Amino acid sequence: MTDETTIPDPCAAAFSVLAFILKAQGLKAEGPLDGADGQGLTPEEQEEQLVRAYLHRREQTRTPGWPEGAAEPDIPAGHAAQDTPDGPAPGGKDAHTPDTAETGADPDPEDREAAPPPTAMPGPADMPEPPGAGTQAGPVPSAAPEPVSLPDAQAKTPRTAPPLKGHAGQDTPDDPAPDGTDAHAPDTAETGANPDPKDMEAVCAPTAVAGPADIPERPGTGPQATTLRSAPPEPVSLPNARAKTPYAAPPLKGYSSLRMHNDNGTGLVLGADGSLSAESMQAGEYTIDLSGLKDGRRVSVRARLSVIPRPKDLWISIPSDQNAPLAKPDEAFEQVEGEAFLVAASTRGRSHAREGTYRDDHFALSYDAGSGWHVMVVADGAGSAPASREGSRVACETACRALQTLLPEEVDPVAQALVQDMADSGPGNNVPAPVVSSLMRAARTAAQELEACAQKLACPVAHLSTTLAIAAARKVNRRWLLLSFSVGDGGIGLWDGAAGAAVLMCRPDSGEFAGQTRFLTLGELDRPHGGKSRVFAEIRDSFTAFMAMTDGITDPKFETDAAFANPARWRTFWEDDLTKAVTFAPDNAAIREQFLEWMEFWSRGNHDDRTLAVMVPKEPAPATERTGESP
Amino acid sequence: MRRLPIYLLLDTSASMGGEPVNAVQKGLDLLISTLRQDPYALETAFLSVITFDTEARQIVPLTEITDFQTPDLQARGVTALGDALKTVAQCISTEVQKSSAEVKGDWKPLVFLMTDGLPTDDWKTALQEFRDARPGLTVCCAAGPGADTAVLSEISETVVTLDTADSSTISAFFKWVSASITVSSRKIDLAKNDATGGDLPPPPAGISLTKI
Repeated sequence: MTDETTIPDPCAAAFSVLAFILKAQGLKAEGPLDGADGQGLTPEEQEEQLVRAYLHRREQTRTPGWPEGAAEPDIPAGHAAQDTPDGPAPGGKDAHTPDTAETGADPDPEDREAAPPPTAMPGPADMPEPPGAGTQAGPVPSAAPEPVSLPDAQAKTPRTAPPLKGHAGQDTPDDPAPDGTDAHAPDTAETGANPDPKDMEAVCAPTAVAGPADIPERPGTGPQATTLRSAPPEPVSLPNARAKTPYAAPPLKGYSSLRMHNDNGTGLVLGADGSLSAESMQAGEYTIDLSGLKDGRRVSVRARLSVIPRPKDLWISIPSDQNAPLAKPDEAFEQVEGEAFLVAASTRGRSHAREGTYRDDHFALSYDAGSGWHVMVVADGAGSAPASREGSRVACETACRALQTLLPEEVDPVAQALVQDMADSGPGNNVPAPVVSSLMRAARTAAQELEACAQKLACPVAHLSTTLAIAAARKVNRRWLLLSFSVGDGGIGLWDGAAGAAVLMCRPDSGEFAGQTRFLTLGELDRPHGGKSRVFAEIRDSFTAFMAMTDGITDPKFETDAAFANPARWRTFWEDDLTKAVTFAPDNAAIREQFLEWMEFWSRGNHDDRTLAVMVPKEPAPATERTGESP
Repeated sequence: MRRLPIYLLLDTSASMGGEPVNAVQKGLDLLISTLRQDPYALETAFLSVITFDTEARQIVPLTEITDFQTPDLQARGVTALGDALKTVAQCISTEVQKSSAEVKGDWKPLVFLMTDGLPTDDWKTALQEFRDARPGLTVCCAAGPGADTAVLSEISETVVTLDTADSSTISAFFKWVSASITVSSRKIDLAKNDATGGDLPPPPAGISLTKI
């Protein structure tokens, strides 16, 4: 079933690497050829001799803890670049690495692509004696001969490419290194090394010396450069980072002696343990060029790193056009002092701020000293309705104004009896008819005003779609009579911290009709359950706060209707959240700043407009303690 | 926070080998980097990748965009579309949070299914399992002329057809998927309603969208 042809054949690339390793290993093991002084040798032999000498000297000077980048044994500098056969090196030494480009030992990039070096390859330290080596030299000397002087630069004869043996896919005649320095591995073809892995294990004698990884790594010189370039970088993925946030990735697994060649502007720092860290990075997708030892072999590593933007940075804020028709300020704050202290704030959601569109929410507060009624109205214009910001304004202001007439007219004449009845009948009582009537009439007035407004604007009334939540209260014989009405989501609640009681004073309009928000329309109010059941009444000797809010507050702070009725959630909301930031007192000169700042709270996935109106009863206090209302 | 789960069902059968699977791989990169630029998607979208060839595997479990890393795709084997539907149904039932009185659950998952061939297993019984998992908007993509649009249109009412399964068309498809996710994540944020086919942006050239 598995399509075998799609599995890369590891042989091509593996053998090119292997062959090089074997050749180098073999040359090193043999050491310089006795008596070879460069005379009478072919250029290829001279080159080979040079490499033997180098490897041998390197072996001699090498100490186990040879630090990377420390002074290295005398090597023919820049020999790889000295490809001109008749160009003697400055030191009089013609230093030639056997040219693999001519031998074609540098595999075709296509082949490399298809065949990453297998990771399970034996390390260079385990390299066997190359089979081909015996034809040129004796057995591995246990004590290597003294280094000999390098052959003189006598290579006047044009070099010819050694024959290509035993190498599949190496017929690309020229494969210059990316930087044009033409760095080449020694001729691996000549070894003819395609050893049987079993042989390798049998023959291998562990030594302290490794293969290419220990060869100097001057950029563009030496076999190492070839190794780095010839193998495709091994792709690794770093754990995602967050922009402008300290980052630390654990050490890359499977590599040692990591080096970073290019951080690509990330500012990443490679720690001694191979970890990568940065104090702060810009969002983006990066590739980090590294190299490291893997199975004793230096390989290049391309690490992918995604630096994820902080959501807050993507939420830009564009002020809305305050000169356009139906413009609305992006935030609003108001406080009203009566027998209770009323505060409301409304802010534009991030989703609107990002597009420079208007706040759809609105609120209205009022206190009538004559009747003693406090009224708070909040409304949330439908996001999908083009003029809903005007709808919410009209609904709030109309309902608020209407109530200051309707409540004194309908409720006040019977207020005393009504409160007494409610107190006698206990909780779960029916809402008294005058209450229902006055609130419903206010809502109806607001709905009618929306229709009138739609006519004025020559748009369908649906363009003004808005929710509506009304909270009204007055003192009746030292008791508080608290009333509410709502259409659509959002919430009205009464929190009595002393009693630990949260009273839900709205009908959850979501839930049963999940996702289907209802709006203030005459039709909605005329529905069988559209009216009465939306009105709530409560009497209390005392309470902590009476609140009306849009879903921009209920969604992040209460999430569900059940939570909105949960006293524990209310306690948390009031004690640990809201009043931690805002002091609800008329003499708090900073209340505007405090409240608006609190309204900006961060809540993932919640970017709606937010409106919260809070009523807190004023403690009976001497009038002198009251400060004036803020501007 | 209500997540928007997104399941990508990608055909990695042998016929997708070479250019198509590479294009899909690149498409995933493009998709994820696009979504990371969008604040709605970045916050709400969660992504899972299920590949199917001879069998289906969830190679990336439902992961938030911030933590998502593009998986490596390998093309091989045949086209076990039924197993893919079965797998995504199981993933939805285990990974997607259902709504309860105390917790608002995740949004209905978006499912994008891409295939270039004919199913080689029993997909009809799996389709019922898939439907029972109550996925949200499901988009089937017929990648090239070899895909069976008749089968796909039984899976979903929304089928897009790529004229060819070449890299530019596949890339365009993933751009369109990015746009669809972006639009959907924004829609649910504003309208507080599950995404529907009506929220899909118009497809680019080379891709035709059929709604049944």
